[in-house]
Amino acid sequence: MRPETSCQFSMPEPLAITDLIARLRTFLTLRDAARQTVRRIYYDSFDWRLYGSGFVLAVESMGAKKCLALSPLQDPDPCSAMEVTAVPRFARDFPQGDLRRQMEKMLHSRALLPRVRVQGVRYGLEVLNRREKTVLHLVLEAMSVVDPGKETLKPLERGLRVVSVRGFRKRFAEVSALLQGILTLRPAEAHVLPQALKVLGHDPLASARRLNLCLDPAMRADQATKLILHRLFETMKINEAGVRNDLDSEFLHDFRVAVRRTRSALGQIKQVFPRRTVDRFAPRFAWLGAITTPPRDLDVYLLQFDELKASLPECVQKDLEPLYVFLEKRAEKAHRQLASQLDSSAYRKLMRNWQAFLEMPVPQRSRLADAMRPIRDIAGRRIFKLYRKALLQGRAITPETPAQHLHELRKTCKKLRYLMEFFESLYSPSRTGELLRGLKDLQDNLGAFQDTQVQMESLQQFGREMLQDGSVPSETLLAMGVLVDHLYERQQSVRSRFAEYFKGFAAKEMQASYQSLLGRAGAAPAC
Amino acid sequence: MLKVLAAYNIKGGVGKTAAAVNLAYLAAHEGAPTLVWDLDPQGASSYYFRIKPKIRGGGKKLMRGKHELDTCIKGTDYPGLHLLPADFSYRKLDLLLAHTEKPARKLRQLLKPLADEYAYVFLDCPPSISLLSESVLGAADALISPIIPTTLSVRTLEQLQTFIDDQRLTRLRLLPFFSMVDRRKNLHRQIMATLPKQFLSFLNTHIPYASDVERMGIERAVLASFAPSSRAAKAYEALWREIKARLHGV
Repeated sequence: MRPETSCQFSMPEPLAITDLIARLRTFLTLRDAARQTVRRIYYDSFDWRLYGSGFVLAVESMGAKKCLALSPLQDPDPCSAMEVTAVPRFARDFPQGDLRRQMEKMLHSRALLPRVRVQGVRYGLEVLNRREKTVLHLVLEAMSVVDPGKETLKPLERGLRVVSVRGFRKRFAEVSALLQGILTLRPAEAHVLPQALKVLGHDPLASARRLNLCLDPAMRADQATKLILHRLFETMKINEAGVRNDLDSEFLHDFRVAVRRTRSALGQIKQVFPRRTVDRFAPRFAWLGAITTPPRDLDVYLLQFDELKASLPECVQKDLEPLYVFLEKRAEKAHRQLASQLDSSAYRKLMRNWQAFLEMPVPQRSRLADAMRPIRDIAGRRIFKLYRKALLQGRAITPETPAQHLHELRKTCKKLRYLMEFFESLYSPSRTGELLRGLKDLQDNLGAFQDTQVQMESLQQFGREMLQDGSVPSETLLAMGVLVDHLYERQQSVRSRFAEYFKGFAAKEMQASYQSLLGRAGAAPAC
Repeated sequence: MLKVLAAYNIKGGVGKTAAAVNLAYLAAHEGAPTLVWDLDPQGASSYYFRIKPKIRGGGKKLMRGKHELDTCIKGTDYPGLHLLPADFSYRKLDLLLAHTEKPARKLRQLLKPLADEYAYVFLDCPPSISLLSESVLGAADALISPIIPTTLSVRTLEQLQTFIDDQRLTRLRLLPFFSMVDRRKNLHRQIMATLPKQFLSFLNTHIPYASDVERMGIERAVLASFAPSSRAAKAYEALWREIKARLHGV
């Protein structure tokens, strides 16, 4: 049954709902209003993946039951709705069906979290004709958004929704026009969420962008680097609670990426901070990276488990289940250990001192070679230098080269990628976009090689540990053996394609493009 | 998949409209998009739903095809329940059908485009045995036939069965049920005891003779909205459960 046409208005005039209804009654025949208390929570992932995809997931409580509805941002009518007793945490927790498929597509591995709470009253009114037949529905809402910091209510504009009844479109048009003429109405969004976000001062789409840096090409290099590092520090801080509570695997992932980028920036943007500062913080961030590795490795295993399992012959797939249980237990333990490390004085001190350093103004004069130079002069030079390093490392790789050398090249490529992301805003997007594509292809190849290498080594290690525990069935060890075999085959196939990807990365045109970045920064700033 | 249910009996005043309207409401209330097509020029269903029994262009235009049918549908006061209103020109539907190709298949053809939108279509049919009846039988998956337990009603049921057999409509289910039952009457009790043995598809639920059903005309509403706990309302609920079980083989 197709949805009815509707119009959504907001009323900037803070008129009491009862007064408003009385006013409506003077020119419309209305059936008694049904008053309903509304408590609605908008759920989304931490990085607003649903909102970013143009959807809104609202959960309204009705006694012990909750009604969950997914609607397009532009459409008040839900495309999927269901009753739940508890809101599913992950897409995989939804019952099989269209809604689950849609959630999987948007959320991937992210958890649904309560993001915005609104509450208030809703009045449903029916406009009647002379036969006392309903020819139109009016829905009035007086809602407030809960400010999470202070637990106070911030009122939103009154909402009025006019919903047509099929076959009575003429009346719908007449009444909509009449209401606009009599009341101070303005067209509003289909959902109250965008307004609530505005009132709270949130911009989900801005926070969803990872770095979103806009550097002034003429800015001093030390100041620009601090700006970059400060953004990364913010990323660590906003993900910290999610890591501590293990809300979903992406919090730790984003936290680790911010740590790695910080280390890269400290190591690669040379001669902008005093040596003792770099020597003081670099090892501490290396420690922070190291303590987050075990839980992340286990997370990756769990996320890829279904795929790994599916690569086995069907008859042995179930034999792999004890490995999942083992990994799950390990992951829980690793996350607990990480949470306690984040509570340690070492971590707190690092964050405190780092913040103090970042917020300290840069010295007026510096004797360091690059500190006071414009960032545009530093950026291209550092990028080109790393590109050359990657070229040298890559050219030395032959089919016989040990895995470790490929890993070294991968690390160089990662550093190069980070630098390009830091300085993206200094160049025209078309130029960096082309370079990033070539780099990304090579990184994907190297990443797949390294991942399979780590997976094989870890599988062997897990096998030994499970054997020591004494509870592993022999069938599981055999299935793990088959898995190692598959991973080896995959690794060989990935490696055989390395030359092809490296060729693209090292092509003459690519080299020329990288070279052109030297001294080009600021020629066409992106923002 | 769309199920077309026709509230049909050769005889008038047996409770066809009450059955069509109340059963359609129950289907929609469960969340199944439902349409009632008031085929009776008297327009009783349209009256219950407070909708003017008028179709722009009349029955003639309606018989032309999908576009007209779609634009004539009206929303009722009940969520998920729509009505295709009656029109006085429906009294000539037989004539209009006679001028179409394959009149017995005409209604089915007209309803086909609605299959994506509705789960159930209830046809509230006028009492007759005519070309329109043939078209109704050709379109319906089941005939819900209210039978007052009287001798004459039994006779019409037999006539209906013969009519269906003559049309060779093998996929059509005839689902008769007793309507306007007064258990104080000896004849009602006797017929209710014997007739289901003769017609094995007889539904077990019966609708009692109740003033609440008559009040529908005053309230201009379905039973569930003004007398939800009444015996008749409960009987329609039981009847709907039984019909669904028969239709979906549960």
